[in-house]
Amino acid sequence: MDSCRNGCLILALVALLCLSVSASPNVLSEADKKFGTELLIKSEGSVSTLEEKYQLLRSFQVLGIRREELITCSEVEAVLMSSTSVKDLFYASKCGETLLCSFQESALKTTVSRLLSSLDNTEALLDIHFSLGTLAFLKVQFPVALNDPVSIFQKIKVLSAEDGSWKYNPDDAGTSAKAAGTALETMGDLISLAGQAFDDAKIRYLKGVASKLFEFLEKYADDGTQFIDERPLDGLYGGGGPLAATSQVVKGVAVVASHTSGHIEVPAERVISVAKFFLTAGIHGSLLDMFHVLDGLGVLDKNRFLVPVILSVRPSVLSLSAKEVFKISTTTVLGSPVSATITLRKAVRANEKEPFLLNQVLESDETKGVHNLNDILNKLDIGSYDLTFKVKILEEGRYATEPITIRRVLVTGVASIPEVEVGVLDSDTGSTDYVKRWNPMSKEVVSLYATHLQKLYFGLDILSPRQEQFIPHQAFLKLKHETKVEHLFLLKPSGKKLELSLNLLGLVEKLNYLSGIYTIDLIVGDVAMENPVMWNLGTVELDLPEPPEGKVKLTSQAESPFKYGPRPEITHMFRPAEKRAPPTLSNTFLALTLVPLLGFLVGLKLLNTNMKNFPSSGLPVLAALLFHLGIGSILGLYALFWLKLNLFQTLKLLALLGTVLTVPGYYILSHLADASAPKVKSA
Amino acid sequence: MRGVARDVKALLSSIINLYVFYTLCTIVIKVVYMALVGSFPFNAFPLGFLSCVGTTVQAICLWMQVNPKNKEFKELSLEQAFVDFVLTNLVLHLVVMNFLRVERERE
Repeated sequence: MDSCRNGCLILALVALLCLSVSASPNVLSEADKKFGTELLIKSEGSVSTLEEKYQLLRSFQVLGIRREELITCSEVEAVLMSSTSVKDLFYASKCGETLLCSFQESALKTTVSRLLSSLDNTEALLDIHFSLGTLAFLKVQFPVALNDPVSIFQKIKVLSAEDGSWKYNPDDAGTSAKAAGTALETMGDLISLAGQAFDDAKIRYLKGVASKLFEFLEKYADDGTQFIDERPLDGLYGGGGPLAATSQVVKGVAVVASHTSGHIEVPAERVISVAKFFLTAGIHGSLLDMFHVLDGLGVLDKNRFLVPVILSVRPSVLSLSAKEVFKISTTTVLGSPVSATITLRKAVRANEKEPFLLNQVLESDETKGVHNLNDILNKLDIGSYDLTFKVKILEEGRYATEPITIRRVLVTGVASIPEVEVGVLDSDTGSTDYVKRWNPMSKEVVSLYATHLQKLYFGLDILSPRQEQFIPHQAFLKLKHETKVEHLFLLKPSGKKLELSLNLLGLVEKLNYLSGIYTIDLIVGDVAMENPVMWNLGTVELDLPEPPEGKVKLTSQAESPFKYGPRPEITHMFRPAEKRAPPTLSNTFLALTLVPLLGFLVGLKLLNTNMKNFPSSGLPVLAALLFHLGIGSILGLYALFWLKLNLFQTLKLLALLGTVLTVPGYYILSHLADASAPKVKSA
Repeated sequence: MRGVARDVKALLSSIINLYVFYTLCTIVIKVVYMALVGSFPFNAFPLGFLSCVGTTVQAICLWMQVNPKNKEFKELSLEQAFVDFVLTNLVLHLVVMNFLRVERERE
């Protein structure tokens, strides 16, 4: 059991990796199904409720496995006879359906009458759904007659909204598409129980609801998947997320399609995007998620409205050296083959524009639904390719597929490096002092000697399996000193050759002036190369000059903490304070500024100015005083403003003082004007 | 009586002349100081300088308005000219004080 568990874990990781790497989802392969089975078996121990047991049973059923240990028909019968919860009855009947149990009418008569009476008394969608579902299962065993099917139909219909969504209860605030899916499934069960009550108008109405439901699909991302999102209302009635919502909608449409004849209009590309949604979700996660995915896939695999067909290209990573071949198949989501003709429209190498191949019809093996692409195999070289396929299905009414699909495949193979050119060149003239061709076969190591005045040169060709020049993603040269200090250099493509030219004069500082013996390693790798290499080409003894004064030659021990340890702290250097004039000088000049003022006052005295016009008595005196005081106070305010206040406070006070000033000012000035005017006029 | 008015005006003119002379002196001193010490804090120099220049200009305006020989401003009375002088001075000093305050806070 332990090794099985370990195997499961590894399988899980690999599967997850495969699922995440694939750009377009693949149908469930045998490996996926096996993996799913393992996961389900593991969760068997933790299921307890009937609902969970049904989910497990249905999941196994889709994967093609019968598990009778979970629940037996007699246990189901016991529940059906005694349980009073419609939900338990429903899930028990679903278990019975999966296990293909058969029951006698006599045993379940009371159950039937209980269900019929509960149908009359309830308005809730889920209760009606559970009751009708149970009755529909029982009808397969023995005849069941409903009292008033039309009123039940009305009860379900009254919960619908204008846009095609549904409520669960008459007093619900919102609606959801998932509820509409449940309503469709319920009405499908109703048709199977009382088909004669459904006239053409009702059938047309149901088909319309089913088609309209696909308009609620939302895009998941730009990968072509669409899903039905869960609304807050759904959370109150079981939840389950978008997987549950999408699966329920698909189920509802399928049940209606299976109980009505004729065609339901559903948009093909939306059904395909829902299939892709489930395939992308994959089988992993909780039991609930796996159940919804498998339930949805099970419905999409076989239904009467539209079966999506997926094109698979296997393997997605093809190994030329293992002589693998491409197998292209058109199947349903669970892997059942569907006949179609496939044309390879074009094959383009990734990052190139010119197609590599055009319009090749694939030969097919009709019985197995597998097509092969053997013709192009001997033209393929290693690298990534985008293959564009055009698919035409033979039975177009029942199946739908994307007409044009693009799949990316990676072709891997063994690349060869015939030889590596290693040389020492003179820096100035570029002439070769020494050149050696290193051969991977002989593994004869090179022993170079170079000073800082020379250049080291490395060059190589890499050939693909088709003998074409190949430029890998990773081509490095590593120089490692005896003190374990390493330096990596990139080999760059020039033309079709990979080259590296190390000018030692410029590198002296990077190498930290460390002279000595360096081992040379060549590292080449690419995702398409099955044989990445790390070759030891040999050694080079570098003779570098001594480091200049003040620069310490770092040893390897000193370097590592510097690289990975904390860096020296950076202290912020504030801008140095500006030079101010010495206080004495500035004070002197302050005094000097006041000198002209004194000069002014002296001058005034000399001119014999007087204050004769200053009024001596009465109101004018007050006004004059106030005027001068006002001006003085404003100047004082300015001084305060300079020292303390901000603009707004100052402006407020200034406005105040200003108004105080204007009154006496106006008065005194007009008084003076009147006083001098007669003098003027009389003159 | 015209003589008295003329005398008053003449007197006032010479006061204003003296005032103008006083502000001009202050300007010269400030420029010399700045030339000696350099212009940090930068804004102090233009502030001081332009404040003096402003008062000088206002004084000159007042002188122009009061000058008996000046034909242009005959309609305006002495008092009005004086009020203009005072008001413009007040506004100028408000602005100057504002920038002085900013300079002070910057330190």
